[in-house]
Amino acid sequence: MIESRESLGITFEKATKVYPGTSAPALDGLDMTIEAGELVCLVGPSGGGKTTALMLINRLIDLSSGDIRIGGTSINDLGPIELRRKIGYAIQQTGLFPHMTVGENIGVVPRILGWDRARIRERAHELLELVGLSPADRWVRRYPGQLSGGQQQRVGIARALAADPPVMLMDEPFGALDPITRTTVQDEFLAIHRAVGKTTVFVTHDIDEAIKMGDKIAVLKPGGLLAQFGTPAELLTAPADDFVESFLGDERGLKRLALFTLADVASSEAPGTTPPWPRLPESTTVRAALSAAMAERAGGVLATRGDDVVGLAPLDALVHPDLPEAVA
Amino acid sequence: MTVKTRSTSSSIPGTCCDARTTTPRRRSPRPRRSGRPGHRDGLVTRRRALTGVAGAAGLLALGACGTGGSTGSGAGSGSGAATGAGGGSASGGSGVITVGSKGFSESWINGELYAQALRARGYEVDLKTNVGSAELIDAAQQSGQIDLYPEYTGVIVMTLAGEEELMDTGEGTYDFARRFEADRGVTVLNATPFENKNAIAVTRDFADQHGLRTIEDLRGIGDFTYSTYPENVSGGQGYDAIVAAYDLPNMGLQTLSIGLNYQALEKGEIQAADVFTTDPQLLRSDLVVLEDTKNLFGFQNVVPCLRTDLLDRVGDDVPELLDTISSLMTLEAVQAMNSASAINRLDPAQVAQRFLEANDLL
Amino acid sequence: MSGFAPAGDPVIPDYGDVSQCVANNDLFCADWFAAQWPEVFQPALLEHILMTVLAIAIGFVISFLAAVLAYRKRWLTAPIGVTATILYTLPPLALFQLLVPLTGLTLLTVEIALVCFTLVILFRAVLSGLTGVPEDVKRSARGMGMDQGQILRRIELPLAIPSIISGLRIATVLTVSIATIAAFVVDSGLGSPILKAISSPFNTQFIGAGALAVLLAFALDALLTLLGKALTPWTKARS
Repeated sequence: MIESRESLGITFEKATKVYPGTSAPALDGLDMTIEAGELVCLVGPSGGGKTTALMLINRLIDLSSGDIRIGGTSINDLGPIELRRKIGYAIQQTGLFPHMTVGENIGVVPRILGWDRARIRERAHELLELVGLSPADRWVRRYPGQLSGGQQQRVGIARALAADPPVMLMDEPFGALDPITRTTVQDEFLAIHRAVGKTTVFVTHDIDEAIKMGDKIAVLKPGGLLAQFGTPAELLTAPADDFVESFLGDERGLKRLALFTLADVASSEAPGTTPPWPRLPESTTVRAALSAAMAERAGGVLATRGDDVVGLAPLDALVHPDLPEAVA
Repeated sequence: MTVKTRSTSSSIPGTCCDARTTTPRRRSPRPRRSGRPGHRDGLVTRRRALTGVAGAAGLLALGACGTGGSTGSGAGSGSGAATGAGGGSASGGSGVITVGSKGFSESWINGELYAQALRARGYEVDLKTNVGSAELIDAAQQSGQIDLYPEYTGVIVMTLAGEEELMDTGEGTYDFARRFEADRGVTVLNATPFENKNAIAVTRDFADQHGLRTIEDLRGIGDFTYSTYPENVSGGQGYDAIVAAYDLPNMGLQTLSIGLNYQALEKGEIQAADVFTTDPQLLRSDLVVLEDTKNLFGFQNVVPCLRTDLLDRVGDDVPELLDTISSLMTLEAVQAMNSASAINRLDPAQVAQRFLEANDLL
Repeated sequence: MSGFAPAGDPVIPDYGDVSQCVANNDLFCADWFAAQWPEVFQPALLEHILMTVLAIAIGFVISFLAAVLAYRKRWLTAPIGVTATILYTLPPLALFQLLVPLTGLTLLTVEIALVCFTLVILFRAVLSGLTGVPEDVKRSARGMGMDQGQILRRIELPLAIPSIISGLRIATVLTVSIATIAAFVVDSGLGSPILKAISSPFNTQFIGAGALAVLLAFALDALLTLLGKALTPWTKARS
């Protein structure tokens, strides 16, 4: 059985879905193992079956053949309703219930599960603080219509986390956000993910988002076939086929730079000889740092921690970071 | 009964109001109208058509209920089905007396008089106002949906019994009506002193000028114009019949909508007009009603028609009470009540209530 | 047995004087209306409210159940919709005529007819309210583990309220109006004085009862609007 308050792995075993009235499968024999606590992004073009794969997990649609196991238990051994109550689910911001306050939205699943009022209220406050809507009292009684897109999305995440599910499913959760808000929410979600460690399956059509968010990425191609499943670095360094390569795009080499931060590449030179290069926090990705250096026509960037310069990263180091294995 | 019901009803939806209003008129001068001033043709016609629809529908209801409910027409068994289906019938032993009234204000007041007086004696009364024409309300009574309603003796003779030849006297008309209804399970109680029937009225000046007292006196006075409503030209009390019966080749015709004739008389556009004897306008205008020496217009006293099985069920106080009401319904009293309705614009219920109060019947 | 009742000596009550306004049949005689209010117009108004509210309540229950059924079984939408539309397009008087053989000249007949006229409006309002709930919201609800009943009660119905309320408003105004025709079947409601006023054209009675019907329609419409606002606090809470 699926137990709460722990992360569980998800295993796809020849998972196949053929929609009624169609001959071609939407998802074709997917074999994939997601380890407990991992964040796996499903990417691919429209018709690649990524949303299908997600909805199979919580049985919003049923498998045509094959199986999916969560923590070793087949999803078919649980009723769909019971299964869904144990899986956090977040979709685009419109998925919030417009007629319920923020607090009520977060409390939906706990209420179904029969939590008492005080516990639901406490949980809502705790989660609002976690997703950065603080102080919670200010937000809990508002309606979704009174929130910005980014705020709504934070509530959506809080809602998915409400009953502390062992697995989270997210379907393009940040799809409707503007780029700036999107970056912020992505960062916050990564922080939350690190903090709570939920096994998360994250559908996106945006390869950059997948590279940023995913511990691993599964690339699905038309016909519902798994093209490649691996870490972002593996994909970027060794695309399995032409489809993956073209999906990663012309800037595959540059995108790979986003896997490194200044902390990985900067040499710890003694201060005093600092050239007049742009100063960036050491958590900045190498890709962003390279971009900054080139924009300033500088020979490199300075990595900072607080106000202190802690390292030097000349262009050469930025363009050729260490091998990914060494970083991991 | 059922057959009659169906044939009547089936003819209604497709036929025009004119056909409905002229057919009974040929036989009887039923006082269908309130006889109020100010009628306009369009409204009156539409009103009749609508009343016909509601009434026809009522008749259909009676057919349906009659077959199911009143087969065992013994005392008190009137129509369980009617009660069940219609919810309004009274004769099912529930102790409720259902009173009906026809489709004009004099009948509405009359129905209120019965209903309110009976209530005052402790009876539970369900009053169904405006049921419709004589045929319809009669069918309602036959099927057990209505226990009691006021009817005009001449209407019973001509419209319900279908007699072509009229009786020479009011008593003769009454006796015929009583015997006819008795055979159908309906008891006819005492008739009212007043009648409401068609009559010919002329202005006082015109009467004085020619020494007019009866319709016969119109013969040989020179050409003059008589008015009636358009539907009443060729019927049994229509213009043609009057000319033939009284030999009046000098009487011209001008058809006018109901209610416009008083004005036309006053203006001298016409010299004689078809009126109803209880019309309050008749009182207000300075007119002379000419005597109908040949009894062309028949006799139209009101009688309470009561299902005999109801009579067996209730005490003697019901017929006694109805007799008392009838005796109070003199021409003067009925004209006053009609006037209260048509001129003062009081509700029929109010008119009846004040009359009953004034006569210590409430 | 008897024959003619002996002419009694009736006391003829004083039915009062007629104001010049009433005698002239002017457009509106306030004195007459005020005098008739307690005995004629007030009871008629109350009866009219009763007829309307009863018809709307019954019509709503039927339409609501039918709409929920049609929402679940989509193939039922067309047959139910067509049936309701046919009932709606029948002339009221024709419907009365069809019904009276079955139910008599009773309030039941009136209510059945009035209910028939509300069905198509209320059915469509409830159904379009339910189908109008965004797909994402429904998917979210399912994905969170709500069962069909919970989704209906907690998500779909609350979100359908604005559409349901606007359907109720239209149906109520319509019913107030059609209920005046009920006077052809039962002597009840504001149609009763209107009908009597038509038979002897008396303006005050006609206009008085007509105006009351219009005011009633406005009042019920306003009440429903307020009810709708009270039930949907989220709609006004836009930032």
